[in-house]
Amino acid sequence: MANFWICDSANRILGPLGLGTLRELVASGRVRELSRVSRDGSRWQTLEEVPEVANVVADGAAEGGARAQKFKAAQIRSRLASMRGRKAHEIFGISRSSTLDHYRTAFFRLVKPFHPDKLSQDTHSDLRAASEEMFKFLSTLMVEAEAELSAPAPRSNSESSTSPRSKLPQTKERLPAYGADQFVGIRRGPDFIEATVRVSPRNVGIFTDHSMVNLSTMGVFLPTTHHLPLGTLLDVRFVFENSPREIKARARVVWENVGVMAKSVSGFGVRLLRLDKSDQLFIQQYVDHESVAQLQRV
Amino acid sequence: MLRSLEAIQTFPVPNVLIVDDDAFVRAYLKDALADTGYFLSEASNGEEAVDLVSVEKPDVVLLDLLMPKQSGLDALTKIRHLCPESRIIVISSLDSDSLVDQAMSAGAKGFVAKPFHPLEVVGAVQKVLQA
Repeated sequence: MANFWICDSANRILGPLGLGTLRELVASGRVRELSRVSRDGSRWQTLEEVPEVANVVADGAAEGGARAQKFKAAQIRSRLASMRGRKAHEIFGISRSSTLDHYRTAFFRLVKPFHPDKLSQDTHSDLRAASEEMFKFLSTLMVEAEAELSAPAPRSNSESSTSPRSKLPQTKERLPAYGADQFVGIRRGPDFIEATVRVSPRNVGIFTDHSMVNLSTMGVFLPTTHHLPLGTLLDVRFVFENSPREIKARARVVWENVGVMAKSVSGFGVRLLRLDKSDQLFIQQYVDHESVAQLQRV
Repeated sequence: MLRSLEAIQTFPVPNVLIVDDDAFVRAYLKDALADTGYFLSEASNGEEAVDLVSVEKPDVVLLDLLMPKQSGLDALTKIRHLCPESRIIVISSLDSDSLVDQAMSAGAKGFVAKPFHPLEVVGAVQKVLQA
């Protein structure tokens, strides 16, 4: 059996080793950043010059990466199992009497690592699935907590906001003034998905009403009965009533209404990935203008 | 700490050579063995260890595997040749089964995986000295 000596980036030497041992060490992460190889312990070559070793190192690294990600997925599922059946405030690590803002802060801190945007393209499918499970679970928990907190005194925690919209009289059940599919059209092609959104004074709340996907998080809620899985990339086209402006943006699905709130509108939330400053400013001004107009009407 | 050949010949307590490229690990091992009364010396790579062994003839060698200048496995073979009576204990984070087997087949008397508890090392040294 051929033996090799290996040298890492810190010039530390290990050997003689068989290829099986080397693969095992690389896959377990015990040996990394290899730079040179020798067949006799004295004459050294680059890793690329010894293909049999380079291949073993590449295979071992891939195996190790997959193994680590599967392990992480198992850890997430185990953590998720321990969370099920517990109250939101226990999971969020806050007191039961916390304000909605505290719930939101705790929620965002907890959910961030599991957000689809945080996972790289080559993330193992098992880890992606486990992260999605956790993301959905925590999002559902937040929606339920929000419903519970806002039920007796709707939106009491956001009354202090200084935006024109916050000064609008609140409806008893916080029901949105729009329904699913009323103004969102989804078009699917072989390699694209496009959502066309007709923005009007009646539905401008899609930019502000949702606690998790709103302008402050570069997000928007799209009321629709179409289902798009978390992480889906799509193009969103906004057409504004009373304005010739049209805005196009690339977006990713980051939130789904999983049907836990009967009163909520079904749909999904997207994060706008590339939005010009001028477009962002226009949307903000449109929202503020329409909110002021509504305020003047009531 | 190095000592003279005369001192080695007259000193009654076991001497232990610590071989590791990481100064922190060497200091940690010295701390772990400080209360045993053993005479301790150290080397920071395989080459230095082989040179010291030929002079000091240590009773026990605590040997790392991944080191500059000379691999721990190569050093192990040379130490066994130079001083067959030295008991070698490998202390390494590379604790894969096949590598542990390889080290033991090459003549190591024990294997302690990093990270280790100080008492593990003291116990391993006492065990090989009593054997």
